[in-house]
Amino acid sequence: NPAFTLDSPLFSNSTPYNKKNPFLDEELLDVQPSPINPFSAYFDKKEKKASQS
Amino acid sequence: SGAASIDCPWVVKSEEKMKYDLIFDSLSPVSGMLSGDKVKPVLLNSKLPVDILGRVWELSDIDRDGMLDRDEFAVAMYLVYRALEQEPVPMSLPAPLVPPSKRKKPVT
Repeated sequence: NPAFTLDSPLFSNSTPYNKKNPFLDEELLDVQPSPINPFSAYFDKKEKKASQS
Repeated sequence: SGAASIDCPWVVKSEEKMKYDLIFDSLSPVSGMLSGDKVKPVLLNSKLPVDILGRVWELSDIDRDGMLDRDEFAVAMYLVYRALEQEPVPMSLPAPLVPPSKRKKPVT
């Protein structure tokens, strides 16, 4: 009962991505963010900027 | 225009690459490759929508083997940082973003 399948004509124009895309893979839907956060410094910087103005 | 792209420098600067390599190594790659279940939790920390991150993954997995090597991971990180700066993620990978190791030799 899926609304559309991979061989739907809707997808025929785009290159299908055959290998697993972890972001579109249902098995990995419940993945939680990692303790390794390379973006924390980025967010800290943004917060500082915001609080200064 | 394809031939010109061979010589253009990679947009990921060596300083950035060193930073991304450190993150790559901290995720314990197997045979120099990271699988999606290792990369996904890290990229989720960017708080970008999953459809954006899915596009980043597709653009970064240049050889389409479902894994990211060191250079592909650097491309992914570069795209995520650009997206955080409100730059749209391209629909296809621009030539200057293709790591030199992945560029096709000119066809004669």
